[in-house]
Amino acid sequence: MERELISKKELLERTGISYGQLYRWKRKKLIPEDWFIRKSTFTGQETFFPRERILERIHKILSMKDSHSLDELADQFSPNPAEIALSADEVLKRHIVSKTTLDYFYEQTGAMESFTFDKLLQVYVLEQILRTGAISLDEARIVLAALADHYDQLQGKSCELLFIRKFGLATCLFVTAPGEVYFEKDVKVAIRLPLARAIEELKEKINAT
Amino acid sequence: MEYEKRRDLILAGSGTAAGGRYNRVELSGSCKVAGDIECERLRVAGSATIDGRVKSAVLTVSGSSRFEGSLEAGELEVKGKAHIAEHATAKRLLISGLVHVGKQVSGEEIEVSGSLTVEENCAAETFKAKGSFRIGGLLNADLVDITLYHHSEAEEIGGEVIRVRRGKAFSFGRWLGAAYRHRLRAETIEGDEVMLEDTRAKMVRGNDVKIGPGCEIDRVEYNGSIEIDADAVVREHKKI
Repeated sequence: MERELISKKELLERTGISYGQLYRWKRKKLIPEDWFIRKSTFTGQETFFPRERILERIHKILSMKDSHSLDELADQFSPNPAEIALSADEVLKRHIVSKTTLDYFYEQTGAMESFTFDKLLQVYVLEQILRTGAISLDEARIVLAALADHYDQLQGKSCELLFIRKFGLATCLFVTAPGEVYFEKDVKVAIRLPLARAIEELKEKINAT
Repeated sequence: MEYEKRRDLILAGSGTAAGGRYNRVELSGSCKVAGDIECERLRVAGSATIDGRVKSAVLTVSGSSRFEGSLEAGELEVKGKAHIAEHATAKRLLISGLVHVGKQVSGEEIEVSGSLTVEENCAAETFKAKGSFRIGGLLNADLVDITLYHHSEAEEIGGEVIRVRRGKAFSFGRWLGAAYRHRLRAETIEGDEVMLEDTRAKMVRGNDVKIGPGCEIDRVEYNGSIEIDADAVVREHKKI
């Protein structure tokens, strides 16, 4: 699903990390298994990574590794949801979502006192997709419903949310990695949101205070 | 967890028991346990089949055992034979017998003096082998320390320090010549510090690489230093 790749060699060179570190982080699940993409090249098998995501991840690990243990980091990066519940006030205070989004979310689901992780993720995704400006409120409802329906199946997997449009018709889908989707030419991809990354950002915000 | 309140399960002779939570489980004779077991100590001395997941602080197998589910232990020692159909996780894993794992192995310390076969990946902080192993996927450890007394193989080996040495004991193989020598085979070996003897690999990458006697390597890529023994074949090497 990734457009640009970086080879392991180039990655080590650019970030200055060692083989030992890379393998250790893989072992500790700080780097997801499905980011290791094997390809044949003229010198034999080589490993590639999704460029943007791995560089971002490595920088994050490097900046946090002195203050956090590897296990803590693994928790943060894991696509498995954290066990937590936040009150509506805290959701706003930690800037997880804006008041507008929260109000709109309440319209859909009814008012809520405390948010569990799955609800937090729903409202966070809602904020993200509305913020792109690429979809309307009504369309966002489709995404919310789909996310609520499939949340259980998507747990622990790294997957991407796609919102597509064709001739005024809109729908959304979730694609779990590793996998690729190809569309016919009339399809417009309005939104492409990696959920694993949304989860990671959300956890960062939750743990921020 | 309060183990005092749990009861022991002791099966001798031939028998069947249900799974559950126990304090101490002893299986000798030919027995079968249906269901998951969670216990403090589990010892298999005879021949046992366990049809479920096992979680035990200490697990010892001196007989022959089949685990149909996954296995999780603080310390796992196999002197006999163990067949684990699913994942095996243990802080400390000591293998002097024969172990076959259908999926992945992960642990902190793994020591193999018998034989270990893993169909998928094997990960640990330290992996020490004096026996033989076959790993279908990646062998990933901070320290990989292998002394070759038998043939061993892994699809990939990666870590910080990777050391492969020739076993010191007298062997007919060595006496008969290179063709009979015990070897390690791997597609790729990558580490910060790589020292190899009697290894056949397609690609070796590292910072400091030492290719010792008996090696046959298609290509070495290094960015620090390289040493190649006169009794080794390296088809290509390149400083990156």
